[in-house]
Amino acid sequence: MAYLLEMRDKVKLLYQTYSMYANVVLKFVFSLVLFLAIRSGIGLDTRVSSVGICIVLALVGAFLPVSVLTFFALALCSIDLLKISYVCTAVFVIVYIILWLFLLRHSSKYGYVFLATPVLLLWGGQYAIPLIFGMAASPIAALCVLGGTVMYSILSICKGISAGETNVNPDEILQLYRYIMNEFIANKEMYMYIIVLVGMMLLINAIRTRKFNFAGEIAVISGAIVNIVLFIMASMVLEVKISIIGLIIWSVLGAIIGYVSAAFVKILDYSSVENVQFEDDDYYYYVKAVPKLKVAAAQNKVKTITRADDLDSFTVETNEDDFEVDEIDMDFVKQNTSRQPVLSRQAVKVAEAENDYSYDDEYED
Amino acid sequence: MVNNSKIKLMTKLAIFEKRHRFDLQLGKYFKGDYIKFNLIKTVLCVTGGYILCLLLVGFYNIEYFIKEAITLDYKKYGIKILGIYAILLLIFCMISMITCNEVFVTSRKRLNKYYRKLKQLGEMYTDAENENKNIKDETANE
Repeated sequence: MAYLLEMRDKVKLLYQTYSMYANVVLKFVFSLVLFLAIRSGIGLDTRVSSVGICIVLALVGAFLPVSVLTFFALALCSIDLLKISYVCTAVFVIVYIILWLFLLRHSSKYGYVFLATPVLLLWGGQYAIPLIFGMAASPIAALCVLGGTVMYSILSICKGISAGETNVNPDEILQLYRYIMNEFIANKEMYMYIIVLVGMMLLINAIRTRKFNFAGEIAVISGAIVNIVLFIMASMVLEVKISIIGLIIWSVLGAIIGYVSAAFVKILDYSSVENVQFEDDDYYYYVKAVPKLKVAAAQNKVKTITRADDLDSFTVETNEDDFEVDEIDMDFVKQNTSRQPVLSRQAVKVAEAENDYSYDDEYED
Repeated sequence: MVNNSKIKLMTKLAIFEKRHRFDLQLGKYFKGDYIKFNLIKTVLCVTGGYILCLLLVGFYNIEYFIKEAITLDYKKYGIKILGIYAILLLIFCMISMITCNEVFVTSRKRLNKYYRKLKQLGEMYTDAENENKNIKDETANE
Protein backbone atom coordinates (compact mmCIF):
# COMPACT_ATOMS: atom_id res chain seq x y z
CA MET A 1 0.00 0.00 0.00
CA ALA A 2 2.85 2.38 0.87
CA TYR A 3 4.47 1.55 -2.47
CA LEU A 4 1.22 2.41 -4.24
CA LEU A 5 1.09 5.74 -2.41
CA GLU A 6 4.67 6.46 -3.40
CA MET A 7 3.92 5.55 -7.00
CA ARG A 8 0.79 7.71 -6.93
CA ASP A 9 2.74 10.72 -5.68
CA LYS A 10 5.40 10.25 -8.37
CA VAL A 11 2.71 9.99 -11.07
CA LYS A 12 1.06 13.09 -9.57
CA LEU A 13 4.36 14.98 -9.83
CA LEU A 14 4.80 13.80 -13.42
CA TYR A 15 1.23 14.74 -14.31
CA GLN A 16 1.65 18.14 -12.70
CA THR A 17 4.68 18.86 -14.87
CA TYR A 18 3.16 17.67 -18.13
CA SER A 19 -0.59 17.97 -17.44
CA MET A 20 -1.32 20.04 -20.54
CA TYR A 21 0.27 17.47 -22.86
CA ALA A 22 -0.90 14.44 -20.83
CA ASN A 23 -4.57 15.48 -21.13
CA VAL A 24 -4.30 15.90 -24.90
CA VAL A 25 -2.48 12.58 -25.36
CA LEU A 26 -4.95 10.67 -23.16
CA LYS A 27 -7.93 12.18 -25.00
CA PHE A 28 -6.34 11.40 -28.37
CA VAL A 29 -5.71 7.76 -27.39
CA PHE A 30 -9.27 7.40 -26.07
CA SER A 31 -10.78 9.01 -29.20
CA LEU A 32 -8.68 6.86 -31.52
CA VAL A 33 -9.65 3.66 -29.72
CA LEU A 34 -13.30 4.74 -29.84
CA PHE A 35 -13.36 5.49 -33.59
CA LEU A 36 -11.38 2.35 -34.44
CA ALA A 37 -13.85 0.32 -32.36
CA ILE A 38 -16.76 1.92 -34.28
CA ARG A 39 -14.93 1.11 -37.52
CA SER A 40 -14.42 -2.53 -36.53
CA GLY A 41 -17.86 -2.91 -34.91
CA ILE A 42 -19.93 -1.42 -37.74
CA GLY A 43 -17.72 0.16 -40.41
CA LEU A 44 -20.29 -0.21 -43.22
CA ASP A 45 -19.51 3.03 -45.01
CA THR A 46 -15.89 2.74 -46.19
CA ARG A 47 -15.75 6.47 -47.01
CA VAL A 48 -16.01 7.54 -43.35
CA SER A 49 -14.70 4.38 -41.72
CA SER A 50 -11.15 4.59 -43.01
CA VAL A 51 -8.22 4.70 -40.58
CA GLY A 52 -7.24 8.15 -41.84
CA ILE A 53 -10.65 9.63 -40.97
CA CYS A 54 -10.48 7.97 -37.54
CA ILE A 55 -7.06 9.52 -36.86
CA VAL A 56 -8.22 12.97 -38.02
CA LEU A 57 -11.38 12.79 -35.88
CA ALA A 58 -9.31 11.57 -32.92
CA LEU A 59 -6.90 14.52 -33.35
CA VAL A 60 -9.82 16.95 -33.43
CA GLY A 61 -11.49 15.22 -30.46
CA ALA A 62 -8.30 15.48 -28.41
CA PHE A 63 -8.66 19.26 -28.24
CA LEU A 64 -12.43 19.55 -27.89
CA PRO A 65 -14.83 18.70 -25.04
CA VAL A 66 -16.41 15.27 -24.64
CA SER A 67 -19.78 16.47 -25.97
CA VAL A 68 -18.17 17.13 -29.37
CA LEU A 69 -16.54 13.69 -29.27
CA THR A 70 -19.98 12.16 -28.53
CA PHE A 71 -21.41 14.06 -31.49
CA PHE A 72 -18.66 12.75 -33.79
CA ALA A 73 -19.17 9.16 -32.58
CA LEU A 74 -22.95 9.36 -33.07
CA ALA A 75 -22.52 10.98 -36.49
CA LEU A 76 -20.11 8.24 -37.57
CA CYS A 77 -22.51 5.50 -36.41
CA SER A 78 -25.47 7.26 -38.11
CA ILE A 79 -23.60 7.53 -41.43
CA ASP A 80 -22.66 3.85 -41.20
CA LEU A 81 -26.29 2.88 -40.47
CA LEU A 82 -27.45 4.89 -43.52
CA LYS A 83 -25.82 2.18 -45.61
CA ILE A 84 -28.46 -0.29 -44.33
CA SER A 85 -31.47 2.01 -44.35
CA TYR A 86 -32.44 5.48 -43.17
CA VAL A 87 -34.92 3.75 -40.81
CA CYS A 88 -31.99 2.38 -38.79
CA THR A 89 -30.43 5.84 -38.60
CA ALA A 90 -33.74 7.43 -37.61
CA VAL A 91 -34.36 4.87 -34.85
CA PHE A 92 -30.77 5.26 -33.62
CA VAL A 93 -30.99 9.06 -33.47
CA ILE A 94 -34.49 9.16 -31.95
CA VAL A 95 -33.61 6.66 -29.23
CA TYR A 96 -30.50 8.71 -28.37
CA ILE A 97 -32.60 11.89 -28.17
CA ILE A 98 -35.11 10.14 -25.87
CA LEU A 99 -32.29 8.86 -23.64
CA TRP A 100 -30.75 12.32 -23.52
CA LEU A 101 -34.03 14.04 -22.67
CA PHE A 102 -34.84 11.60 -19.87
CA LEU A 103 -31.46 10.62 -18.46
CA LEU A 104 -28.21 11.65 -20.12
CA ARG A 105 -28.61 15.44 -19.74
CA HIS A 106 -27.94 15.00 -16.01
CA SER A 107 -24.63 13.19 -16.53
CA SER A 108 -23.00 15.17 -19.34
CA LYS A 109 -19.81 15.28 -17.24
CA TYR A 110 -19.43 11.49 -17.71
CA GLY A 111 -19.56 11.46 -21.48
CA TYR A 112 -16.47 9.25 -21.50
CA VAL A 113 -18.38 6.57 -19.58
CA PHE A 114 -21.19 6.75 -22.15
CA LEU A 115 -18.68 6.32 -25.00
CA ALA A 116 -16.59 3.62 -23.27
CA THR A 117 -19.58 1.37 -22.43
CA PRO A 118 -20.43 0.26 -26.00
CA VAL A 119 -16.70 -0.21 -26.76
CA LEU A 120 -16.31 -2.53 -23.75
CA LEU A 121 -19.52 -4.34 -24.73
CA LEU A 122 -18.09 -4.84 -28.21
CA TRP A 123 -14.89 -6.36 -26.80
CA GLY A 124 -16.76 -8.59 -24.33
CA GLY A 125 -15.45 -6.52 -21.42
CA GLN A 126 -18.87 -5.49 -20.09
CA TYR A 127 -18.20 -7.46 -16.89
CA ALA A 128 -15.48 -4.97 -15.94
CA ILE A 129 -17.71 -1.89 -16.37
CA PRO A 130 -19.21 -1.73 -12.84
CA LEU A 131 -15.83 -2.37 -11.22
CA ILE A 132 -13.97 0.30 -13.19
CA PHE A 133 -16.63 3.01 -13.16
CA GLY A 134 -18.05 2.11 -9.76
CA MET A 135 -14.62 2.74 -8.21
CA ALA A 136 -13.60 5.76 -10.27
CA ALA A 137 -16.83 7.65 -11.02
CA SER A 138 -19.87 8.90 -9.14
CA PRO A 139 -23.27 7.11 -9.05
CA ILE A 140 -24.66 9.43 -11.74
CA ALA A 141 -22.35 7.71 -14.24
CA ALA A 142 -24.71 4.71 -14.01
CA LEU A 143 -27.09 6.68 -16.27
CA CYS A 144 -24.33 6.80 -18.91
CA VAL A 145 -23.77 3.04 -18.58
CA LEU A 146 -27.52 2.51 -19.12
CA GLY A 147 -27.51 4.81 -22.15
CA GLY A 148 -24.41 3.18 -23.63
CA THR A 149 -25.93 -0.30 -23.23
CA VAL A 150 -29.15 0.74 -25.01
CA MET A 151 -27.27 2.35 -27.91
CA TYR A 152 -25.05 -0.72 -28.27
CA SER A 153 -28.15 -2.92 -28.38
CA ILE A 154 -29.57 -0.94 -31.33
CA LEU A 155 -26.22 -1.00 -33.14
CA SER A 156 -25.88 -4.75 -32.74
CA ILE A 157 -29.45 -5.30 -34.05
CA CYS A 158 -28.70 -3.13 -37.12
CA LYS A 159 -25.37 -4.89 -37.62
CA GLY A 160 -27.23 -8.21 -37.66
CA ILE A 161 -29.53 -6.87 -40.38
CA SER A 162 -26.58 -5.74 -42.52
CA ALA A 163 -24.84 -9.11 -42.05
CA GLY A 164 -27.88 -10.83 -43.57
CA GLU A 165 -28.63 -12.80 -40.40
CA THR A 166 -32.34 -12.03 -40.75
CA ASN A 167 -35.09 -12.41 -43.35
CA VAL A 168 -35.93 -8.71 -43.20
CA ASN A 169 -35.87 -6.72 -46.41
CA PRO A 170 -34.11 -3.40 -45.63
CA ASP A 171 -36.17 -1.69 -48.35
CA GLU A 172 -39.45 -2.46 -46.55
CA ILE A 173 -39.67 0.45 -44.13
CA LEU A 174 -42.42 -0.75 -41.82
CA GLN A 175 -41.19 -4.34 -41.77
CA LEU A 176 -37.64 -3.21 -40.94
CA TYR A 177 -38.85 -0.80 -38.28
CA ARG A 178 -41.05 -3.46 -36.64
CA TYR A 179 -38.20 -5.95 -36.70
CA ILE A 180 -35.82 -3.49 -34.98
CA MET A 181 -38.39 -2.60 -32.30
CA ASN A 182 -39.33 -6.25 -31.69
CA GLU A 183 -35.69 -7.26 -31.33
CA PHE A 184 -35.00 -4.27 -29.09
CA ILE A 185 -37.93 -4.95 -26.74
CA ALA A 186 -37.27 -8.70 -26.62
CA ASN A 187 -33.53 -8.27 -26.03
CA LYS A 188 -33.06 -10.07 -22.69
CA GLU A 189 -29.30 -9.60 -22.86
CA MET A 190 -29.76 -5.82 -22.80
CA TYR A 191 -32.05 -6.02 -19.75
CA MET A 192 -29.57 -8.30 -17.98
CA TYR A 193 -26.70 -5.91 -18.63
CA ILE A 194 -28.70 -2.86 -17.58
CA ILE A 195 -29.89 -4.40 -14.31
CA VAL A 196 -26.57 -5.97 -13.31
CA LEU A 197 -24.23 -3.20 -14.50
CA VAL A 198 -26.22 -0.32 -13.02
CA GLY A 199 -26.99 -2.21 -9.80
CA MET A 200 -23.36 -3.27 -9.30
CA MET A 201 -22.07 0.24 -10.01
CA LEU A 202 -24.34 1.73 -7.37
CA LEU A 203 -23.46 -0.99 -4.87
CA ILE A 204 -19.69 -0.65 -5.37
CA ASN A 205 -19.93 3.13 -5.16
CA ALA A 206 -22.00 2.89 -1.99
CA ILE A 207 -19.43 0.62 -0.27
CA ARG A 208 -16.45 2.64 -1.52
CA THR A 209 -17.76 5.90 -0.10
CA ARG A 210 -18.36 4.53 3.42
CA LYS A 211 -16.23 5.92 6.20
CA PHE A 212 -14.51 2.79 7.44
CA ASN A 213 -11.02 1.37 6.97
CA PHE A 214 -10.25 -0.47 3.75
CA ALA A 215 -13.56 0.63 2.23
CA GLY A 216 -12.00 0.75 -1.26
CA GLU A 217 -10.45 -2.70 -0.97
CA ILE A 218 -13.66 -4.25 0.41
CA ALA A 219 -15.69 -2.57 -2.33
CA VAL A 220 -13.51 -3.89 -5.14
CA ILE A 221 -13.13 -7.44 -3.83
CA SER A 222 -16.75 -7.91 -2.80
CA GLY A 223 -17.83 -6.14 -5.99
CA ALA A 224 -15.86 -8.59 -8.16
CA ILE A 225 -17.32 -11.62 -6.36
CA VAL A 226 -20.90 -10.31 -6.37
CA ASN A 227 -20.47 -9.27 -10.02
CA ILE A 228 -19.59 -12.84 -11.03
CA VAL A 229 -22.39 -14.37 -8.95
CA LEU A 230 -24.98 -11.86 -10.17
CA PHE A 231 -24.13 -12.33 -13.83
CA ILE A 232 -24.35 -16.12 -13.51
CA MET A 233 -27.70 -15.87 -11.68
CA ALA A 234 -29.08 -13.35 -14.17
CA SER A 235 -28.01 -15.45 -17.14
CA MET A 236 -29.75 -18.49 -15.63
CA VAL A 237 -32.96 -16.61 -14.84
CA LEU A 238 -33.17 -14.78 -18.18
CA GLU A 239 -31.71 -17.71 -20.16
CA VAL A 240 -28.93 -15.65 -21.71
CA LYS A 241 -25.62 -17.19 -22.71
CA ILE A 242 -22.50 -15.70 -21.16
CA SER A 243 -18.86 -16.72 -21.18
CA ILE A 244 -17.91 -17.79 -17.64
CA ILE A 245 -14.16 -17.60 -18.36
CA GLY A 246 -14.58 -14.13 -19.86
CA LEU A 247 -16.69 -13.12 -16.87
CA ILE A 248 -14.01 -14.20 -14.38
CA ILE A 249 -11.09 -12.74 -16.35
CA TRP A 250 -12.79 -9.39 -16.99
CA SER A 251 -14.05 -9.19 -13.39
CA VAL A 252 -10.51 -9.68 -12.07
CA LEU A 253 -9.11 -7.24 -14.64
CA GLY A 254 -11.83 -4.73 -13.85
CA ALA A 255 -11.13 -5.06 -10.13
CA ILE A 256 -7.42 -4.32 -10.65
CA ILE A 257 -8.08 -1.40 -13.03
CA GLY A 258 -10.83 -0.05 -10.76
CA TYR A 259 -8.65 -0.21 -7.66
CA VAL A 260 -5.68 1.45 -9.36
CA SER A 261 -7.84 4.14 -10.99
CA ALA A 262 -9.52 4.92 -7.65
CA ALA A 263 -6.07 5.46 -6.14
CA PHE A 264 -5.04 7.73 -9.01
CA VAL A 265 -8.37 9.44 -9.79
CA LYS A 266 -7.61 12.61 -7.82
CA ILE A 267 -4.57 13.23 -10.00
CA LEU A 268 -6.80 14.44 -12.80
CA ASP A 269 -8.74 16.77 -10.53
CA TYR A 270 -6.55 19.13 -8.62
CA SER A 271 -2.87 18.30 -9.17
CA SER A 272 -2.46 20.39 -12.27
CA VAL A 273 -0.77 23.75 -12.30
CA GLU A 274 -3.17 26.70 -12.40
CA ASN A 275 -2.41 29.80 -14.44
CA VAL A 276 -4.60 32.69 -13.36
CA GLN A 277 -4.57 36.40 -14.01
CA PHE A 278 -6.19 39.26 -12.17
CA GLU A 279 -5.58 42.92 -11.42
CA ASP A 280 -5.93 45.48 -8.72
CA ASP A 281 -5.54 49.27 -8.73
CA ASP A 282 -1.77 49.15 -8.99
CA TYR A 283 -0.69 45.95 -10.76
CA TYR A 284 -1.65 43.25 -13.23
CA TYR A 285 -0.90 39.80 -11.80
CA TYR A 286 -0.03 36.75 -13.85
CA VAL A 287 0.17 33.96 -11.30
CA LYS A 288 1.21 30.35 -11.74
CA ALA A 289 -0.09 28.34 -8.76
CA VAL A 290 1.65 24.98 -8.32
CA PRO A 291 0.01 22.61 -5.79
CA LYS A 292 2.45 21.40 -3.15
CA LEU A 293 3.24 17.72 -3.25
CA LYS A 294 5.25 15.63 -0.82
CA VAL A 295 6.77 12.45 -2.21
CA ALA A 296 6.50 9.72 0.43
CA ALA A 297 9.92 8.04 0.81
CA ALA A 298 10.43 4.36 1.53
CA GLN A 299 10.87 3.29 5.15
CA ASN A 300 14.31 4.16 6.50
CA LYS A 301 16.43 1.51 8.21
CA VAL A 302 17.24 2.52 11.79
CA LYS A 303 20.81 1.85 12.89
CA THR A 304 21.52 1.70 16.63
CA ILE A 305 24.51 3.83 17.55
CA THR A 306 26.53 2.35 20.46
CA ARG A 307 27.94 4.33 23.39
CA ALA A 308 31.51 5.75 23.45
CA ASP A 309 32.80 3.18 26.03
CA ASP A 310 31.79 0.33 23.81
CA LEU A 311 33.77 1.63 20.86
CA ASP A 312 36.75 -0.73 21.49
CA SER A 313 34.55 -3.78 20.97
CA PHE A 314 32.84 -2.19 17.95
CA THR A 315 34.40 -3.20 14.65
CA VAL A 316 33.95 -1.02 11.63
CA GLU A 317 33.82 -2.63 8.21
CA THR A 318 34.95 -0.26 5.52
CA ASN A 319 34.34 -0.44 1.81
CA GLU A 320 34.62 1.77 -1.23
CA ASP A 321 31.37 3.64 -0.39
CA ASP A 322 32.66 5.08 2.88
CA PHE A 323 33.67 8.72 2.81
CA GLU A 324 35.09 11.26 5.21
CA VAL A 325 32.83 13.71 7.08
CA ASP A 326 34.00 16.79 5.16
CA GLU A 327 33.03 15.12 1.88
CA ILE A 328 29.29 15.09 2.76
CA ASP A 329 27.16 17.52 0.70
CA MET A 330 25.14 19.31 3.41
CA ASP A 331 22.64 20.68 0.86
CA PHE A 332 21.79 17.15 -0.22
CA VAL A 333 21.34 16.08 3.42
CA LYS A 334 19.03 19.03 4.13
CA GLN A 335 16.89 18.25 1.10
CA ASN A 336 16.49 14.62 2.05
CA THR A 337 15.85 15.13 5.74
CA SER A 338 12.83 17.26 4.90
CA ARG A 339 10.99 14.21 3.50
CA GLN A 340 8.41 12.52 5.68
CA PRO A 341 8.85 8.74 6.07
CA VAL A 342 5.78 6.54 5.68
CA LEU A 343 4.94 5.04 9.04
CA SER A 344 1.71 3.52 10.34
CA ARG A 345 -1.53 3.45 8.41
CA GLN A 346 -2.75 6.40 10.47
CA ALA A 347 0.32 8.41 9.53
CA VAL A 348 -0.15 7.33 5.93
CA LYS A 349 -3.69 8.71 6.02
CA VAL A 350 -2.47 11.98 7.51
CA ALA A 351 0.32 12.21 4.93
CA GLU A 352 -2.21 11.36 2.23
CA ALA A 353 -4.52 14.11 3.46
CA GLU A 354 -1.63 16.55 3.48
CA ASN A 355 -0.48 15.50 0.02
CA ASP A 356 -3.99 15.85 -1.29
CA TYR A 357 -4.21 19.44 -0.16
CA SER A 358 -5.60 21.67 -2.82
CA TYR A 359 -7.19 25.09 -2.89
CA ASP A 360 -10.54 23.38 -3.07
CA ASP A 361 -9.94 21.62 0.25
CA GLU A 362 -10.87 24.95 1.77
CA TYR A 363 -14.19 24.92 -0.05
CA GLU A 364 -15.18 21.31 0.61
CA ASP A 365 -17.03 20.15 3.71
CA MET B 1 4.45 47.87 -3.06
CA VAL B 2 3.22 44.30 -3.56
CA ASN B 3 1.23 42.83 -0.67
CA ASN B 4 1.95 39.07 -0.53
CA SER B 5 -1.03 38.10 1.62
CA LYS B 6 -3.35 40.01 -0.73
CA ILE B 7 -1.85 38.22 -3.74
CA LYS B 8 -2.31 34.83 -2.06
CA LEU B 9 -5.94 35.63 -1.31
CA MET B 10 -6.61 36.94 -4.81
CA THR B 11 -4.93 33.86 -6.34
CA LYS B 12 -7.18 31.54 -4.33
CA LEU B 13 -10.23 33.53 -5.37
CA ALA B 14 -9.16 33.46 -9.04
CA ILE B 15 -8.63 29.69 -8.90
CA PHE B 16 -12.08 29.21 -7.36
CA GLU B 17 -13.64 31.37 -10.10
CA LYS B 18 -11.83 29.31 -12.73
CA ARG B 19 -12.82 25.91 -11.30
CA HIS B 20 -16.31 26.65 -10.02
CA ARG B 21 -17.99 28.76 -12.68
CA PHE B 22 -21.16 26.74 -12.15
CA ASP B 23 -21.26 27.72 -8.46
CA LEU B 24 -20.84 31.38 -9.36
CA GLN B 25 -23.71 31.16 -11.86
CA LEU B 26 -25.82 29.40 -9.23
CA GLY B 27 -25.09 32.24 -6.83
CA LYS B 28 -27.31 34.51 -8.91
CA TYR B 29 -30.42 32.43 -8.09
CA PHE B 30 -32.54 32.02 -5.03
CA LYS B 31 -33.09 28.40 -4.08
CA GLY B 32 -36.77 28.43 -5.03
CA ASP B 33 -36.09 30.10 -8.38
CA TYR B 34 -33.34 27.60 -9.23
CA ILE B 35 -35.58 24.64 -8.41
CA LYS B 36 -38.50 26.13 -10.39
CA PHE B 37 -36.23 26.77 -13.39
CA ASN B 38 -35.01 23.18 -13.35
CA LEU B 39 -38.56 21.88 -12.91
CA ILE B 40 -39.58 23.76 -16.06
CA LYS B 41 -36.61 22.23 -17.92
CA THR B 42 -37.59 18.78 -16.62
CA VAL B 43 -41.23 19.21 -17.70
CA LEU B 44 -40.15 20.29 -21.19
CA CYS B 45 -37.64 17.44 -21.56
CA VAL B 46 -40.03 14.77 -20.24
CA THR B 47 -42.80 16.07 -22.53
CA GLY B 48 -40.46 16.04 -25.55
CA GLY B 49 -39.17 12.56 -24.72
CA TYR B 50 -42.69 11.23 -24.17
CA ILE B 51 -43.91 12.65 -27.49
CA LEU B 52 -41.01 10.90 -29.26
CA CYS B 53 -41.86 7.63 -27.48
CA LEU B 54 -45.49 8.03 -28.59
CA LEU B 55 -44.27 8.61 -32.15
CA LEU B 56 -42.24 5.40 -32.05
CA VAL B 57 -45.17 3.41 -30.63
CA GLY B 58 -47.59 5.06 -33.02
CA PHE B 59 -45.49 4.27 -36.08
CA TYR B 60 -45.16 0.66 -34.91
CA ASN B 61 -48.95 0.30 -34.76
CA ILE B 62 -49.74 2.58 -37.69
CA GLU B 63 -51.48 -0.09 -39.71
CA TYR B 64 -53.78 -0.91 -36.80
CA PHE B 65 -54.62 2.75 -36.16
CA ILE B 66 -55.41 3.36 -39.83
CA LYS B 67 -57.63 0.26 -39.99
CA GLU B 68 -59.49 1.02 -36.75
CA ALA B 69 -59.50 4.82 -37.11
CA ILE B 70 -63.29 5.05 -36.95
CA THR B 71 -64.04 2.44 -34.30
CA LEU B 72 -61.10 3.19 -32.00
CA ASP B 73 -61.91 4.04 -28.36
CA TYR B 74 -60.05 7.38 -28.30
CA LYS B 75 -61.21 8.21 -24.76
CA LYS B 76 -59.66 5.02 -23.33
CA TYR B 77 -56.39 5.54 -25.21
CA GLY B 78 -56.35 9.23 -24.30
CA ILE B 79 -56.75 8.47 -20.58
CA LYS B 80 -54.03 5.82 -20.77
CA ILE B 81 -51.61 8.17 -22.57
CA LEU B 82 -52.27 11.08 -20.22
CA GLY B 83 -52.13 8.82 -17.17
CA ILE B 84 -48.70 7.44 -18.09
CA TYR B 85 -47.53 10.98 -18.91
CA ALA B 86 -48.70 12.27 -15.53
CA ILE B 87 -46.96 9.45 -13.62
CA LEU B 88 -43.73 9.94 -15.56
CA LEU B 89 -43.84 13.69 -15.02
CA LEU B 90 -44.43 13.27 -11.29
CA ILE B 91 -41.51 10.86 -10.87
CA PHE B 92 -39.06 12.97 -12.86
CA CYS B 93 -40.14 16.22 -11.22
CA MET B 94 -39.66 14.74 -7.75
CA ILE B 95 -36.19 13.43 -8.66
CA SER B 96 -35.34 16.80 -10.19
CA MET B 97 -36.48 18.69 -7.06
CA ILE B 98 -34.45 16.50 -4.72
CA THR B 99 -31.27 16.58 -6.80
CA CYS B 100 -31.50 20.35 -7.49
CA ASN B 101 -31.94 20.97 -3.79
CA GLU B 102 -28.83 18.95 -2.97
CA VAL B 103 -26.80 20.61 -5.73
CA PHE B 104 -27.88 24.08 -4.57
CA VAL B 105 -27.09 23.44 -0.91
CA THR B 106 -23.58 22.04 -1.56
CA SER B 107 -22.85 24.80 -4.08
CA ARG B 108 -23.98 27.48 -1.62
CA LYS B 109 -21.65 26.11 1.08
CA ARG B 110 -18.67 26.46 -1.28
CA LEU B 111 -19.87 29.88 -2.39
CA ASN B 112 -20.17 31.11 1.22
CA LYS B 113 -16.50 30.35 1.78
CA TYR B 114 -15.70 32.22 -1.44
CA TYR B 115 -17.74 35.23 -0.29
CA ARG B 116 -15.97 35.24 3.10
CA LYS B 117 -12.59 35.40 1.34
CA LEU B 118 -13.96 38.13 -0.91
CA LYS B 119 -14.99 40.05 2.19
CA GLN B 120 -11.46 39.62 3.61
CA LEU B 121 -10.09 41.08 0.39
CA GLY B 122 -12.51 43.98 0.64
CA GLU B 123 -11.33 44.64 4.20
CA MET B 124 -7.71 44.60 3.01
CA TYR B 125 -8.55 47.26 0.42
CA THR B 126 -10.36 49.34 3.05
CA ASP B 127 -7.41 49.07 5.46
CA ALA B 128 -4.99 50.08 2.69
CA GLU B 129 -7.14 53.09 1.79
CA ASN B 130 -7.38 54.16 5.44
CA GLU B 131 -3.62 53.80 5.84
CA ASN B 132 -3.00 55.95 2.76
CA LYS B 133 -5.47 58.51 4.06
CA ASN B 134 -3.71 58.63 7.46
CA ILE B 135 -0.32 59.07 5.81
CA LYS B 136 -1.68 61.92 3.67
CA ASP B 137 -3.22 63.59 6.75
CA GLU B 138 0.08 63.25 8.65
CA THR B 139 2.11 64.76 5.81
CA ALA B 140 -0.49 67.53 5.42
CA ASN B 141 -0.26 68.33 9.17
CA GLU B 142 3.55 68.45 8.99
